[in-house]
Amino acid sequence: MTDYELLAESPLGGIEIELDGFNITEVTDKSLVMVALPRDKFKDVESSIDKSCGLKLPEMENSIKSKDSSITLWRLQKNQVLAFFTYEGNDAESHLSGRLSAPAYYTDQSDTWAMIRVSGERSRDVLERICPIDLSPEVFSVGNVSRTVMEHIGTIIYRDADDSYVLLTMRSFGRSMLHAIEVSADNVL
Amino acid sequence: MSQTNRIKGGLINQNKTITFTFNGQILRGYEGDTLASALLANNKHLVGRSFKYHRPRGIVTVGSEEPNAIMEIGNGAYKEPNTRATVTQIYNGLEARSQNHRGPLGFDLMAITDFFSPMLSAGFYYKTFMWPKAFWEKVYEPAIRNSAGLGTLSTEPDPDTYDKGFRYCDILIIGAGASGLSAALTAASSGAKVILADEDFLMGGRLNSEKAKVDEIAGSKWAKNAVAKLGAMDNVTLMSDTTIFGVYDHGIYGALENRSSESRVDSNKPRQVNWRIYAKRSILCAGAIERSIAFGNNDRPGIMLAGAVRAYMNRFGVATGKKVTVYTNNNDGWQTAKDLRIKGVDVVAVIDSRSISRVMSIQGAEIFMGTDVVDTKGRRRLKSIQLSNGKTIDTDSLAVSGGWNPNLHLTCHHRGIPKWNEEIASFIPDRSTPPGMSVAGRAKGTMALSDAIQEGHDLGTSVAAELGYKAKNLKAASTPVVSYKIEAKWGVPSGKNRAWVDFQNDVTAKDVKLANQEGFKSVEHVKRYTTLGMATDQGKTANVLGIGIMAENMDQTMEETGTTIFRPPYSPVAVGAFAGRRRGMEFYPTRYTPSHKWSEEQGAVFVEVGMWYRSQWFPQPGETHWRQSVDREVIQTRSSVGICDVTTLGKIDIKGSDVSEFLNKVYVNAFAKLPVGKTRYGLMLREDGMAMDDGTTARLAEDHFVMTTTTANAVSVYRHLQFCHQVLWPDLDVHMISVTEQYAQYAVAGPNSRKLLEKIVDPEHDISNEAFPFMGAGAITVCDGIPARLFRISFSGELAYEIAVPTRYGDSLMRAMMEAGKEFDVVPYGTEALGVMRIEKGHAAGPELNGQTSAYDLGMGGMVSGKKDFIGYKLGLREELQRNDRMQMVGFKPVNKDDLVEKGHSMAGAHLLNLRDEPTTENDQGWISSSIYSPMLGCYIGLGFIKDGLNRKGEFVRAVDLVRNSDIEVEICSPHFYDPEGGRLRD
Amino acid sequence: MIINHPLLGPRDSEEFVYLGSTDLINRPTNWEEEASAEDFYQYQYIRENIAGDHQELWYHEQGDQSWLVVTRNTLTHEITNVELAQDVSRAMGRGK
Repeated sequence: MTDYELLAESPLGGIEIELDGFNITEVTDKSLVMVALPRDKFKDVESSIDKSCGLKLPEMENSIKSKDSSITLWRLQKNQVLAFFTYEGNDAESHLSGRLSAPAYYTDQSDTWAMIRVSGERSRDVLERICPIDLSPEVFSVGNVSRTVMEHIGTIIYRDADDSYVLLTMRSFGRSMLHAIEVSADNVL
Repeated sequence: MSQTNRIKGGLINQNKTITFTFNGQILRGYEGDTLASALLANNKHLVGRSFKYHRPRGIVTVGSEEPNAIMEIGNGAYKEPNTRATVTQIYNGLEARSQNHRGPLGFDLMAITDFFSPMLSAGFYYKTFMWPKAFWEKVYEPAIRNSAGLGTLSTEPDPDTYDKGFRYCDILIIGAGASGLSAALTAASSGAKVILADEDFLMGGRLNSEKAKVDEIAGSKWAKNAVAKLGAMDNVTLMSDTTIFGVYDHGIYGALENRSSESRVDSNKPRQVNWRIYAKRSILCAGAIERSIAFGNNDRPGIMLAGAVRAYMNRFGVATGKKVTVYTNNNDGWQTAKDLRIKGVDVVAVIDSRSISRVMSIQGAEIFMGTDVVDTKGRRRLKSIQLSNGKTIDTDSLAVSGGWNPNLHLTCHHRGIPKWNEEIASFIPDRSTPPGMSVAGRAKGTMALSDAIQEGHDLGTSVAAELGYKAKNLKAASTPVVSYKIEAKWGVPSGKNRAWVDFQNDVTAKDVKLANQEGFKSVEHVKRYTTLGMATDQGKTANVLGIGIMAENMDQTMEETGTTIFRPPYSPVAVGAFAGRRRGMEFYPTRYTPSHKWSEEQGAVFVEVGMWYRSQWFPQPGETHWRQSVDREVIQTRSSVGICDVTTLGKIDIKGSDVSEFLNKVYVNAFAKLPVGKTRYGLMLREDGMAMDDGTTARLAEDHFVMTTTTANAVSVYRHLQFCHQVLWPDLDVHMISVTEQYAQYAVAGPNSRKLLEKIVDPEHDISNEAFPFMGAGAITVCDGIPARLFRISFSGELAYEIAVPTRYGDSLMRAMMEAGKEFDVVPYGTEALGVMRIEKGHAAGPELNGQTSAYDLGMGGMVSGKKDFIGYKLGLREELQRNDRMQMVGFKPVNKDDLVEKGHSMAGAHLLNLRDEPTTENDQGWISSSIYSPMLGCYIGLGFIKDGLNRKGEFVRAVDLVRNSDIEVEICSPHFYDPEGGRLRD
Repeated sequence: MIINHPLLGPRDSEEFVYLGSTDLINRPTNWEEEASAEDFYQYQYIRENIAGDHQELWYHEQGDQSWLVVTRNTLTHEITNVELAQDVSRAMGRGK
């Protein structure tokens, strides 16, 4: 026991903003773990995650949900998948490796990213001012995920529902990203 | 006197009056007017003075090609110069002012320059103002700049905001005239995603200005219906008031959307949006631009292009005069006369340069075939014209048509070269259009409306088909067939009278001739010598005319003469629109460290390090100078304990079975045998043998390492490692991921650092000197089970640790450690104290790793392994890099300690000289790269580079700083100023 | 410019960082030989100045972080082929 208690803090303090047809909400209940796939173990990993969670390796820039929907795997790189899952504890790495039980390298990324969900019927109108990739609903479908750059900030964008997108930026950029979204909203709405 | 030239009809809303001012005079126009049409409605033809000669000038065109009617709009910081009145929509309260005159517009004091015109011909700059040399900068240029010119800038920051955006489509259609709308209708019917953009705020192109019927209804009505139909389709985006200004590689188009009307209502809204449009295909339907004919005094207010006269009448309900004359070399000019008559405006005469039979009869007009206009009268407004047959005709409005030039600007943005078409006497696009671009209608040289519609219609279908979309079987709109016939006419012999080619830059036919006579044969040279086509309108109405005159002068074909190169932007784009949001603090994003909020509460002074904000020092009450804060932070750290946020250092997790082998390839020193639970300093070189970056790498498990990089190189080192892995050694089992942001990392330094940490670290982790010695590393937990990493490394030279926790606990850990450290009088220190302590310890950093220094130069030659290949090994062995007289890093201290203390500045940037040498470049021995006041040594000290430095310790040299005017004697010494044995960090 | 990423499809070149010629893949392996100094010198500094198809390395920094071999015409900017550098490197016989 020490005399000190550490308090966890989300990158944006759990911000929620409601505008006309457009909402901004920080996602605070998710963890992220990078799962690196050793070249000679792709097959092992595939069969392990299928067995443990009913998961497959998604196609590039796509995602797949586990049977119970608690884990989503994002494929942003050929040799890695990023697991996005509901977990708020301190040990996302072993939590996930326990769930997947696949022979891969796990690296906790939960604290690396600020996660902002933008949603509402105007979300695409707001995002087209900052997002250089094509978000047309038929092109960037629900479940698609991509890594790109917005306002000089490396950003992952994940479409988790019809009019809902989760933007992830490195945590230190969180305030700048939030600001960029707010400026877009001001300019558009 | 209000709107005396207004007639019935047009596409304006005559029920909605709008009030604006021109040169302070209150005027009225209607909704739908441009500033130009409203001025003409108020019988204002004289709207500006010319660039060079201050000639009175009037509105010439009806579109973005306008050379004369450029004005200052708005007031104060909002003032925007050189705005084309022909494309500016009027709004209540608009303030417009004419440019380039002293005194009132009607009596310009500078008009005297017109009488000196013989002195100001082409090339006058180069000829007249040659001598005396010194006069150029001081007398001639300021005088010329003052008298010539455009509008003036407000010199205040632009208060408007701008935005940018990204849009994707299958087919971008540029221009929403007859062919563009036809193309859009078929293309959109296929289901392809279509963007239709037009620079005008009202789509329809020339259909809005002509009387021609389309599908049996007024062309403008047909256009309106088509736009409505397209607007209702989900796969179509309409972008009016949007100029496609550039065609870039691989289907990227620059589009400037003007949203002034919105931003005037809500000043927070962007005035313009600079869109990047990604299009798989584009169809250019940009129409054509009319040109003039160069006859004597063809620049008087009241002389306009015939198509513009027609447009002002048909679209804007404005008659440009009471007694109009038409001068043309083609059939289209006659249409103006015809339309004027329909509206009941008097047409006095039609003059056609061609010796053919009259094209049609015009009621009440005298017809002169095979006749030219040779001169005109009327200073501030046209009064009469003189014909080649000697006749003089009184007229207040002359409509001139020299023919129509296909608007092929955008087809040339990838160096396409237009070709000459004799039939329409104009240049047309050849096949070298940018990949993916097709051209339809008048932009292609298809002059008959019926053909232009058919062409657009067909292209919409075929271009969609190229992308796998099938257009519906629609019928192209029908319109009466009107043929366009022309005989090229460039200049008319005009004796002493000047015949203007480029109105905006005041270039005459004579100037072009002079240039040709003086040996300028290439169109590019003539352009630059005469400035033809170099004004803000880029010669849209002038260039072809100028080329025609050149061809005649040199007795060569138009094809041989050729055009100059068209480059983006198509029309002027405000710099603000390119900058977009990136102004002031939004030039770049900002990165905050985990302890930022806490540091703000402490009143820290921040410094920008790349995008990061780092605490530079923490002023305490009573401290008036930064040095007091920094000295205190150093002394307190060295005597007890200090804490510094080092989260910004790059951190890379590297996992896999081949990591140690990989590290061996990227570091100069060996890593293969680094045991688990240990960390090691590593130096990385570039392949050319120069130092790239340094840092420590710890082994946390057999197959798990964590590398640190400098803050500045975090991104580039990661990129380099990926290169080494993916490109050079692709089969190594190595997996990298940046964890810079995953952990909040703090340096805890000073003799009491362990005692402080023992209060934070959970008791089951023994961090005593024996259990956790210097260069130890490992996973621990703190504050009751929070996972953390602890590294016993020291940049300060003290007993020190770096502790990392998940970033979510970063703020909290800082507060906890400050609380726990109270009993030791713990101090937070910033980057400045960090720098002081590293220089006291002789550690190289950014100023030393400057891309020109090898491991040997840095005194780290001993670290370099000779037993393995690594990046930079072989080229680092080059003889030149091993020479002793290279600049080598050593320490420097002043012989007289107080020298600089009195002056109050460091030695940084000083150059080193042997004692008796003059301060010249030849005598330069090296320089001081980093220098600070050392509170421990009580004097300024420095790191620097000097020839053969490692062998010169104990020698005295001069440190000369010519900028700060200081010249002191310094001793070359070891860079390890403080605790050179390193006992403190091992305690 | 747009680079047609072999795994991700067309992406704006703003997401990429340019390095240089694919000559950089051929890093000499004979470091132990005295004569290799010349090979390393050639590897580091000597390049063809190609007017036409140029094979060059680009890094998808703001994307999947893969290094790519892009064949770009230096006269027209036309990009005719894009491959993963890792695949090219392996095909050239590079491994560990």
